[in-house]
Amino acid sequence: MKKWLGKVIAVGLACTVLLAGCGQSSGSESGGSEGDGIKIGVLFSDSGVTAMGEKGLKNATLMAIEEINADGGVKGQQLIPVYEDYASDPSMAATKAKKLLLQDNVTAIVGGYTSASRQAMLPIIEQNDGVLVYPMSYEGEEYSKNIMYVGPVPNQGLEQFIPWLTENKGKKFFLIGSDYVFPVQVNKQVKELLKLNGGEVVGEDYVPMGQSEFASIVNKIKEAQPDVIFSVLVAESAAAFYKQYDNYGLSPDTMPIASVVTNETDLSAMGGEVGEGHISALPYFQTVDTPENKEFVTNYHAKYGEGPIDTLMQSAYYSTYLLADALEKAEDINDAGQLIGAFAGLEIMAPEGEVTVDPENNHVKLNFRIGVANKDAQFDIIEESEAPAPEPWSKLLFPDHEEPWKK
Amino acid sequence: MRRVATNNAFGVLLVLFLALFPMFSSDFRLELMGKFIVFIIFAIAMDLVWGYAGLLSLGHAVFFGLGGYMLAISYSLQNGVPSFMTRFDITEIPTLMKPLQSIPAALLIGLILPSILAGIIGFFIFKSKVSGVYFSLITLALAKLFEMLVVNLQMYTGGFNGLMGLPRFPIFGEPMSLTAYYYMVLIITVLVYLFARWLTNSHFGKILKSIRENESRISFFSYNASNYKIFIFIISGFLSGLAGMLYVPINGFFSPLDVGLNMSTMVILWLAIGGRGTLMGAAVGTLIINWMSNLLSEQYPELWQLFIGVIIVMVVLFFPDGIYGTLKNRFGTYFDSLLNRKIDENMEMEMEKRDYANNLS
Repeated sequence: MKKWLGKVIAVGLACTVLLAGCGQSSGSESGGSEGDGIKIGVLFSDSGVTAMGEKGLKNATLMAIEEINADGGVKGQQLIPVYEDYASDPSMAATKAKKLLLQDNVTAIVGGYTSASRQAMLPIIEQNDGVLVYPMSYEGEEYSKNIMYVGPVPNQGLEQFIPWLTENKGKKFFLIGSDYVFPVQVNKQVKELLKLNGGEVVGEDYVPMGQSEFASIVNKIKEAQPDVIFSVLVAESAAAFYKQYDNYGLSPDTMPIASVVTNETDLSAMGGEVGEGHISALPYFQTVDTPENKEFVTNYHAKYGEGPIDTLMQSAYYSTYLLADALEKAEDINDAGQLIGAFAGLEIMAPEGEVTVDPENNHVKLNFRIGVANKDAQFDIIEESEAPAPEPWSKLLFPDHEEPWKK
Repeated sequence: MRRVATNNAFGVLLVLFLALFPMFSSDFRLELMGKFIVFIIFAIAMDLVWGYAGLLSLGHAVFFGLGGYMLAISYSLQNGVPSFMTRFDITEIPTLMKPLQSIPAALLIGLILPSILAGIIGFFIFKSKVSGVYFSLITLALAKLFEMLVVNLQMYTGGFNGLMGLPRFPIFGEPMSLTAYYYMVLIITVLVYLFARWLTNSHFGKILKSIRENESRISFFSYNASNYKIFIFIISGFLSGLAGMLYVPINGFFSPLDVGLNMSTMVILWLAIGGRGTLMGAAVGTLIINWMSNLLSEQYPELWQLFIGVIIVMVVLFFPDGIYGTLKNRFGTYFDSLLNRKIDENMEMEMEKRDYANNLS
């Protein structure tokens, strides 16, 4: 009897889910007018380990597309978003990118999150001559004629931040990071910059991705007594480290954690009290005071609820606008070379302020801001300026590296 | 007189379908199908261990990954020191990795290394009579360990970011075309299937099945159960390594996510859905789950995992023997008799004649 009941419930549940799914899909299909429109692939994760971070990027991208369409679209045509979930799996990102390019014939893809996901997509995008707009900050040392790198590379965050830190906070640095390419690359440049600015490294440590136990590292820090802890910890490790720093009674007044990654989303994950007083240098904070940003924040909150907005989401948002401008400018939008070429030199008023695409290297000139976290899990901006030009191969580390875009 | 079995009829149909698939599919779908056919080899390798010997290994992707990484690293070494090494100031290919510079050598190593590792693990686990859930736990830890090892040895393995831009099997110089590669994979898979079928139908296979059913009884008959288990584990490791190596060129990318817990649980899922303990079930489950995941995620990017979850629960509730297993159990005899009716009629006539003759005499 009980078994029978269980089966009935299971069948009922399954039917409801299926019906709900069908209802939703038919709804979304009737929304866009198929046929005459420009298809844009949107590729982020709705499931898996990085889904929490990627959801915001997906939302911001889709919102931008909606706004562009409400403004009359591009060349009189509507943008049609084709969304795919790659479940935080780089191999699946490659498969989905291929699907978007070959099955859906999208004009360009906005997407990718981890460097792993971008690297998995790169050969696919190149082989099929597609265009990928990649909105994340990443470690640099890469150039593809088919990819627009809209996020900052390390030199753009560090060249002003490190001198500022040595001047205002002290010369002794303790470097800590998650153990993968990005933190290692960032810290290489940090060490070079410290040499130039008379700073010194009193300790360096890398922890496996996802580690949340920092007792021994906090002890090492206590012994080394640095003036600044420079952290390139990502995701849950960042929140855990800030929390344990707090638990062990260290104070940001004497030994602040400085970061080029920790943003509003991380702050709200660790709690405002924990993050208070620590310093981040990023192109954008939610508190940026521009009319564009006020509009962006209000619209986003109205559409998706009152969550934190961070620099990555903002980047995905204006990446989509950049793409729309490039589509408008390019004569033949289905020619990848022309479309990428149309990006060169574009200027746009993003929520973070003016952003310019480098005329040559497919990277972007952004803004630079230093913010001190407050107890509302937001940043008080204390420095604002233009960031230096993007150097995919940092001039500091590779003074005479060849520039592949010149070929 | 040999009877035509459902298994054979179904197998021939499936192979025929897969062989004709390139004629009516797009390149994208063909590549997906090729990938899934590679997965069938992996599923068969797992089935030998789990379905036939009753050993639920939760870390089988270790062997898959070991094979795959040997080939992927070998590809990366073709143009001098790869960038993931120079990033960590390694300017010369380490001595231990020198043999991998030759692709044929890598192909060989990719088969031998997983087999040896399987042999060593099997030796320690089975000789010390670890079984049941403890066996599963050890293999689970192994999968996690391997994943961490690959990530932490990033200067040699490419770490978390993985290895990218891998070509399509340039064994004989020029890389193969997709269709040629597809047929190569298909032929290898059919050979693996035939080998596995021969193995499981042999005396050896029968002993494996009896170990699964009642290990102490088979030991009582003076069979050394642990040796049998070690042997099947080695074969399974070998086949998993083979699958890993075939997967690398068709995926063009290899990262720790392809070798760790995720992949290890996926293969268990394919088997559970298809029907463990039947080789055809491994093939059916792999194809069904993978195609369903892909097509559903295209249609419902936000809900597809929910659908897959519900379907899995339903299959486990209603068809505990898996889709193919259940079909075979319920309708197998019916299909068999359908296929064999003609033969049976002939036989009956023969029998009647013989009876008649007997009566006469």
